[in-house]
Amino acid sequence: MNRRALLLAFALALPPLVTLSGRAPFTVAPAGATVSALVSMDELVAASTYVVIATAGERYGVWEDLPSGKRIVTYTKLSVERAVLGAPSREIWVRTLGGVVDNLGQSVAGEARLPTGSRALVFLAQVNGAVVVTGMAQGHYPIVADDKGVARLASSPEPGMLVPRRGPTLSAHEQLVGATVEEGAALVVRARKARDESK
Amino acid sequence: MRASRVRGPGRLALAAAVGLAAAVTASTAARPAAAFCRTSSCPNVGTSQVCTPAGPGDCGTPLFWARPCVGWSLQKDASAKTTFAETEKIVTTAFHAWTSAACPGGGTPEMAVVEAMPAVCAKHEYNQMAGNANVVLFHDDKWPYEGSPNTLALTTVTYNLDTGEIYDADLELNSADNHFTTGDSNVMFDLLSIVTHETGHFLGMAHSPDVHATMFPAYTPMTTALRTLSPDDIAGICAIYPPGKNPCACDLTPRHGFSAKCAADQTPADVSGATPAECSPPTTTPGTSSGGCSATPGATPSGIAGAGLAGILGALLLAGRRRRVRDAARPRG
Repeated sequence: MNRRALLLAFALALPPLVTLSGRAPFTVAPAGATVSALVSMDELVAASTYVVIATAGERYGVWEDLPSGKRIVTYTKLSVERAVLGAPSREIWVRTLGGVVDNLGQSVAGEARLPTGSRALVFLAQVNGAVVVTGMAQGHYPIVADDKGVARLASSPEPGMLVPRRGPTLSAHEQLVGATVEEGAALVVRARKARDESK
Repeated sequence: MRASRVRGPGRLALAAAVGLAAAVTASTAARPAAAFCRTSSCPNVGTSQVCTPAGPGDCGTPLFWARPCVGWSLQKDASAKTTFAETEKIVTTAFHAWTSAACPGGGTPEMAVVEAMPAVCAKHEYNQMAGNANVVLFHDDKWPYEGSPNTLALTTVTYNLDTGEIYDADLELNSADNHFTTGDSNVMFDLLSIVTHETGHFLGMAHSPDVHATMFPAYTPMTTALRTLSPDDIAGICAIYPPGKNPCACDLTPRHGFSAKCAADQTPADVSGATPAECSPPTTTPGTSSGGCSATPGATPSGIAGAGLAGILGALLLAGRRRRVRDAARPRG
């Protein structure tokens, strides 16, 4: 089995392993209802305004009229600990699809979920006055400690149903899941640099 | 044969199988290989899941459609790449896979999914003050979800946070950025496979760790294996809608009445029916007490099954297709 296959195997195996270990802070694994093709690091970086390491703070759900329809969205305040790419402010309100308003819940899984207090590497895009997670759950990598206490990137708890990429390019998911935070940040910077140089 | 997915084209399929095998192996101490999961409503969290047998991340009340039937509407334009008739057949086949499953104890899930009249509205909506429809729609021109052109399909499920009752479900397909195929040869993104998976979510299923399941969270392009349910999928759908256990009357009317139009375009005459009377089927969640049909005017006190149900569904379908507008005066909110 080649490196790519092994990486994908690891990428797919890690999130459930992390969840099942009982050590992870992400004990909730919501159901998904989105089918997404895995995006490459280049695509993710190209579509992102910012890439940050941040901690989720307060959040609230609200009904909002979007191009996709009137739906429940959740706004979560991210406290930026480090800007890997871009120059965001120290606090960013991020909009994600789905959430809770009064006694109604709306499930749009495959979307990133940012539980209060969780720390993650997050790809963010500024779109029409709002900041969203680029590529939905594929732009969200929770930071969890492995058995040796090393902070590593994990898959978003519910990445939805994933479709492998065709061709030789690794997906961002394959590259980032299991990487240390520093390795992940370096991969992002390298992808941006390569993109800038190719222009 | 289910194993064909693992043997499917490309080494990535093998990698996916290996990855998941590792995950499933790790989970066997907590739950057996066949361990379907249901989408749930989790207090203070929102959407979560509940698995059978229970998993470490389980939380909340599983989602379900309360009545033994539900309607869906195909958006009238379907897709330039997939005709209305073709899509109609595919979605019907997908739902049929779930509702005709042979339950382990005998019978089929007590759930009928019936096509209602086409929707005019071309976007997801759940309206608290206007009519609704459970819509299946394509986005041919532009995928409206900014930042996620990689998405092939997206299902939005709206539910009651306290009871888990599903109020509305819409399935959107990104035909602007993806090439769906409908046949058995030259398969790329097999529409029937993807819709069968998504209709599982529509009915309350969550992802399964069983690599053979249609609800397993990975699809290998150029394959059609997800079209066929695995024993794990069947155990799941039969647990949500156990045969002969739902005393609620069939009523296809969505909450706040049916309307083919978007809320902004609706007049009172565009809305037929009203929110069906409250009725709770017996709960199938282990460790919780049974529910039951509340005393509601118009609700049939005993289960509806077999020919009786088929007859009622047929009549409702015809009524829907003829767009017979009933009383415009309806409760809102």
